Order: sequence, then structure tokens, then C-alpha cells
Amino acid sequence: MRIETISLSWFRGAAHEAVLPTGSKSVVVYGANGSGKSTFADAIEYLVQNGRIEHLRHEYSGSRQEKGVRNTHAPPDEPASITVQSDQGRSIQAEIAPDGRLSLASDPPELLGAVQAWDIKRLILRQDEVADFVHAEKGKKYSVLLPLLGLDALERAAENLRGLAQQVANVGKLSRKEQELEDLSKAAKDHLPDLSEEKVIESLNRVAPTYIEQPPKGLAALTRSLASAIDRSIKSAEPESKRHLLLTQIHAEGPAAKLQAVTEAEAATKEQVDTLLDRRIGVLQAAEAFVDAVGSDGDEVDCPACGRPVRTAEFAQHVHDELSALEDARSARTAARKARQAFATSLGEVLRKTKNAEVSDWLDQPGQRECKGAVTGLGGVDLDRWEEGWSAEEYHAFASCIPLVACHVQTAIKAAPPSTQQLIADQEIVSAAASIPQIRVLELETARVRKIVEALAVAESAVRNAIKTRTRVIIQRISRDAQRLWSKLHPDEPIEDIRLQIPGDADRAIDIGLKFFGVDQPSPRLTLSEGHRNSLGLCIFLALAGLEPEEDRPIILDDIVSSLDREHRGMLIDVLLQDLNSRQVLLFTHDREWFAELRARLPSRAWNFRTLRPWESPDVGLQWSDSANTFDDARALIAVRPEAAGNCVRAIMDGRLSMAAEKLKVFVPHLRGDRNDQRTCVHFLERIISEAPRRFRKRDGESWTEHLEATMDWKEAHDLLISWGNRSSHTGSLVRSEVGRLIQTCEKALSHFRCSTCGDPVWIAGQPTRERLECNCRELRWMYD
Amino acid sequence: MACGTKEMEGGLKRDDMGAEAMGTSGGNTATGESLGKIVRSAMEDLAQQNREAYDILVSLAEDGTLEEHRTSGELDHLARRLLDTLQSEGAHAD
Repeated sequence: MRIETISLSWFRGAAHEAVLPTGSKSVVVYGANGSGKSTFADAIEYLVQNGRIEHLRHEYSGSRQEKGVRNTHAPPDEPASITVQSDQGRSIQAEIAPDGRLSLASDPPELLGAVQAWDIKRLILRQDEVADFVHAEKGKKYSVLLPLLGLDALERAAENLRGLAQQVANVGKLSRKEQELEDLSKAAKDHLPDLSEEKVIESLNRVAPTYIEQPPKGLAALTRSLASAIDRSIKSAEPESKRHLLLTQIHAEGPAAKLQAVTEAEAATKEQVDTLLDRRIGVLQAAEAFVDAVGSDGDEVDCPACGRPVRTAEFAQHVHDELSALEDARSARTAARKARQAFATSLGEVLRKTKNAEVSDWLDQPGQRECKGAVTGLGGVDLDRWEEGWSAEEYHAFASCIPLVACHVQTAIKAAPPSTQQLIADQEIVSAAASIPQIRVLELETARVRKIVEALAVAESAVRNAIKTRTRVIIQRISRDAQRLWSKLHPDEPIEDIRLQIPGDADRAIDIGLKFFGVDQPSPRLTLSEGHRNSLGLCIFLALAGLEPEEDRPIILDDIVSSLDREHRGMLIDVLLQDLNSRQVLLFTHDREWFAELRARLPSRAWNFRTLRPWESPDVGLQWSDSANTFDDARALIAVRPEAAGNCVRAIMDGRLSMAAEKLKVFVPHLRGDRNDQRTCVHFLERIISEAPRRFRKRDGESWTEHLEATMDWKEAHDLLISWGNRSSHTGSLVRSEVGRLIQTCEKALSHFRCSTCGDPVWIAGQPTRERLECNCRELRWMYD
Repeated sequence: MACGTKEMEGGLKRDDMGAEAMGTSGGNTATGESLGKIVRSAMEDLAQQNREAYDILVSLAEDGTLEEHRTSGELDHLARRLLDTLQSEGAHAD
């Protein structure tokens, strides 16, 4: 779409009404600093960004930037508004109520969505952003470039796939089940070297003849049958054998190992909690303040930490992430609790078995006195307190008594008769076989969850590869375009082969390379001046803008040439003419000379030119000048500083006449060499006046006659500039009425260079080498001999 | 200007993970049909073993759900949907 008008009311610098009409053409807006040019760029950004302007995201701008976007002197009951009328009668409107409530509307309805799909980074380039891309770090460049490449959706997809894989693993308790599977398998492998069904059955069949005559087929039946038979053998065993069996079971409980697990889990908990507590408390206190500030309305509030407005959804995500981190600490705490529970259960089982008659008799033996004392000591601890943990003394009792009991039990087991040892070994094999079904279930469950996790990881990797491939293709194209634009702005300069590149040593990074005096440079920051970096940033922006699938959307350039010299600004006009001729460009500048040159070179059939008056006050707001020249800058000074107004007129005339003389090929010799140009408007006027009778022609029917009126007005301007212009700078004695007349005369003098019919300057068409210059409608001519 | 009004307060956010809520035209504008293609191709193995999970993921890729930022809560919801498919997979296996 092409913008037909931008109408503002109480938005930023605008008061009741400020309208920028473009006539669907490109437009150049001149305004001195502070005149309100950027208000129009802000308005477009506000619409496209759904009520956001990046450079206003500071602490004073309010939850919906209402403190930043409303004119500070707007009547309290009037809304601020933006209306953009496009060609074909379509329109978009934003209204910001005094309380900051924003409503957006469009006609047709889908227009709003279409406009909000525009990428702001490819739409508006501002003065302070020109070199941002060039200055950014490699990773930042990648992040900045990704949305510009249209690949941010893929990047989000990759991140979502990664997050989803993690979440599937978490919810599916994958790591816990894998750990459980590993523990069970390890325990089973202590007694069964191979856990395949066939080998386990083989092992059981080797045990079976001792206990059953006709072993059943199949793992489950064989295990059940053998377990029952071994149970019967134990029940009918001699008391000594029973005692050894019980001691073996006590040994298998492994309370010492479980105590060690408790110690380690509690240490891990302490570490987690200590690290997290202070930081998380701070974060959650900020969150609490934030939530209070949010109240019940609004989708954005000022962040309590940094003051920047943030979306509640984003903040909610932030809080969620913090809580996830706390989850880790909670998991550690849960693990410690589970370890205590397992230890308490195990020790309880040990103590229960020590009350069995066979073990009790063994403990009463003289050699076991020490062991019995340890068992008695352990019996005094309340094991039901595993939830909250035990006292330091109790932990001390565990640490001293459990190893002692374990040592005595182990010695006793070793002394068991071979038949009992065999029975114990057979029982362990059968127990291991009994755990096989659980192992199979866990194997299946983990494999299924892992399959999804792995599929997500493969998809993420494929998406990232696609991003890389496309990034390469697109940056090649951007590089080509940026290089082409650079060559236009900087012909014959020793900086060439500008290109974007993916550094070989980094992932998710992009950098800019170039050749400086024929030598490859890995970064432009090493060699480029500020002006060159800005110029390069501009080339990259324009190259990116060229990526748009539809050319039918505007580009907004807001004061982008501050660091370019006059020559390069002139080259930029070539780019506007040749490379952006199919785009609507809204160009804002505070540079008076460049504005004059733009007016001189850009054709009025495609471009409009508007000038803003210098800023007066918030209640007056943006004001357009009646003419497209820049004399209003001088007019604004008449009332308070007439001599400054006179100097301003002189400066305007110096620039405009210097350019006019250059375009007309009127040679005015330098007074002190090219680099110290002391030529003034008076010198230029003298030469132009002397050549005009022979060269300057105005159409009169079928012929062209001398433009006498122009010559007369130029002479008057020349005389006034000598007398009053000099007085304003030398004696400061110029009075208001004199400045008013000086401005009027100079405006009139300059107007003669421009055709009153087609609006173009006399030099817009034709070539000096082909006998003449002329305006587009050929009403005015500058003839050569 | 009577039509097409949308207030900031609500209704702008896709609040459901389902394809129905996302609309059939959703997403993919930046990437064409390619995310769907990428995911289909990358998950061929999963298609053989868990068709239901595969279908869910392909539909998420094609309806634009995956191309927008998703919170942990939303991912958690999606993860549970995917794990639910294991129940029916288990039932089929049994």
C-alpha cells in the first residue's frame, strides 16, 4: 500500500491536528531539530507495533506508553489519535484514550493485520540505528537479522521443539525411570550375567533340579515355581541355616549404603537451597510488586526491576522460569526425603529381623556383644521421623553403629555352611529373575518416551539446518545488494567486497566482512570510520528492505545522513532515484542543504517536499510551512533575534546558490582553494546574474525569451544581501522589517530556478553537453553556447 | 472505520493450543509450508512407531503453533498430549 495521508491529533509533537499529505508519492520532510519530524515515523511504528515505539520503552512512558505518545499538553478529555489513509481509500486508526487505553481499527478489517505483519526493522531506519547492525556482536547480528530474514518463526519453532522435548522427558519422568531401570538391571546382573529371557531361563533351569522335579516352561511360571520351592526349603531348614539366611537378608538391606545416600542427598539439597534462596526471594519479591502493579487491567506494566514496560505474558513467563528453577531445589529436597525414607525402611527391616529368635540367639553369643550393643543403640532412634530428618546425635549413632553391625553380619555370613550358602545364592538368582518383568516394563516405557524425545530432537536439528541453509542463501542476496549499493555510494573507494557471512567458528552468528585496500577484514569495525559504518548500515537496511516480497509498502528514513558528507549525500540521491524508484519513501531530514539538493534533483512527479516550521510550543504542535523552502527557520527568529534571522537567510542563500551554480555549470572560482571555500551567495549571484541574459530563457509561445523578471529579482536579492546581509553579521543592527523584506526577496529570487508549471527546477532535464538544461515541461531553459 | 476494531485488552492472543483455535490459515506465513515439510520428513521414524504423536506434531507444525513463542505451561500441556498417545500405543501393543 501507499500512504496517502498521515493525520495526527495530540500524538507526540502534534497538537489538535497535523496532517502529512503525500499524494501517494514519496515525500521529503525538512524540519529543524525538534520541529517534530520523527513524530510521523513514531506514528507509523505505533500502528505497526500494536501500540509500541521502541525508543520510548523507558520508565516514564507508562503501561501503554501513554506518557510518551500523548502530547504533554493534550486536553485531559481528548484522545490522541493516528489515522493513516492509504491509496484505494483504505485506512487504519489508533486512538489512545487519556488513561492510556488503546484501540486500533482498520477498514477493511484485514488491513490492520496486514500492516502489523510488516517488519518494523525493514520499515523504519532512524539516525541512531543506522550503524546498529554494523556495531552489533556476531550473535546479536544473528538475532537482529533473523526476523529481518523472515526466519524468526523457524527459530521459534526450533526453540519450541527443544523445549517440548525437555518437557516430554520431564513429564514422562524419563530420567527417573532410566535410573530405576539402571538400578534394577545392575542388581539383577549381580546374579544373572545375561538378562535376555533365554539366558535367564537357562540360569533358572540350572537351579531348578535341586528344588523341583519337573520345572515348568516359561520364565514367569518357572520363577514362581522356584520361588515357592526355595521358600519351602528355607522354612524347613535347620535353625542355623535360617539364621544365616536372615543375616544374609540383613546384609542385603544395605543400610550403610542407604545412609550414605541420605548424607549425599542432604548435602545436595543444602547446596541447591543455599544458592537459590537469596536470589529467588529477590526475584519473587519483585514479582509480587509487579503483580500488585498489574492489578486487574492492562497487558503491560513497568518492570519493577528495570522500569521498562513489559508485557504481563512475558513477565508471567519469567516468573514461570524462576519457579522452574525452584523446582530443581524442590526435587533435591524430595530426593533427600526419599533417601531418608528408604534408609528408615531398610533399617527398620534390619531391626525387625534382629528380633527373630534365630538372630536374637546369635546376638546373645559372647562374641556378638558389641554388635548387640549397636543394635540396641539403633533401636532407640525413632525411625518414623524420616520426613523431617533426625538430630545430629542420631545421625552420629547411625554412623557409628551401622558399620559395626554390618561388619559382624558379613563375618557370620561367610561362616555359613556350603549348603546354606548355595540356598542363599539360589534364592538371589530367583529374586533377580523375578525382577525381569519390571525391567521389561521400564525398558518399554522409557523407549517409548525416548522415541518422542529423540524425534523432537531430530526435528529441531532439521529446523536449525534449514535456518542455516536459508540464512546462507538470503545473506548472499543481501550481500550482493549491499555491495551494489555501497559501490554507488562509495565508488572508487578502497573498501570493497562487502558481504555478510556466517563465521566458521560460531553457531548462530553472522558477521560482516570486507576488503580494505585489497586485504580481507573479518570485521568492519577494524577499519571503517563512523561515516563509513553508518553508510554500510544504510546499505544493509536498503538491501534488506529490498527483500520485501511486495514493493508496495513504504520505507521511512528518519535523519539518516548526519554522518555522511555532502558528496555521499549526493550519491544517496542517486540510490533513491535508481534503486528505490518503485517504493514510497518517507524521508525526514534536518539538513537544510541536503533538503535543497533533494528538491533540486528528485522529480516532482514522484516526490513531494514539505517543510516544518520550527517548534513553538506543545499546544501549537507541528506546523507546516506554507512553502517548501526553509526560510521559516529564519522567520522564526525575526521577533527575538533579527540579526540571527539575517544570518540564517545568508546561510540558506549560500547553500542554495552554491548548488544552483553547480547544477547550471556556472563557474565561480574558489577564493582560497577547494578545501576552504569562502564563496558566498553574493559571489554566486553575481556570476548567475552576469550569465542569465545569455542563458536563462522562459517560454513565450513557440519561442524562448530572456527571463527578465528573474534577473531583476536576483539583482535585488544581491543588493540586499550585500547591505543588510552584511549588517546582520558584522554590526548586528538589522531590524525586523528589514529581515522580513530580505526573506521575501530571497524567496522570490530562488523561486525563479523552479518552473511554476511543472514544479521542477530548470536543471532537472537535459544535459549541459547537449546545449541546454530544462525543466520537465520545457517552460524554462538554461542555454549553452 | 466501524469495522475491524480490536481492543488490546483481549482476544489478540491465541489462547489454545488446538488447531481449531489456531485457525486453518495460521502461521507459516514467514516460512511457507516448509516447517510442516521439515517436521514430516524428520519424524518419519516416529510415524512408524507412534502415528498419533506424529500426527499431533505435524499438525502443530502446519497450523503455526510451533512458530509462535510458547510458554513452559503451554509446552507442558503439549507434552502431556504427546505422552497420552503412549497409552493407546501401549494398548495397541498389548
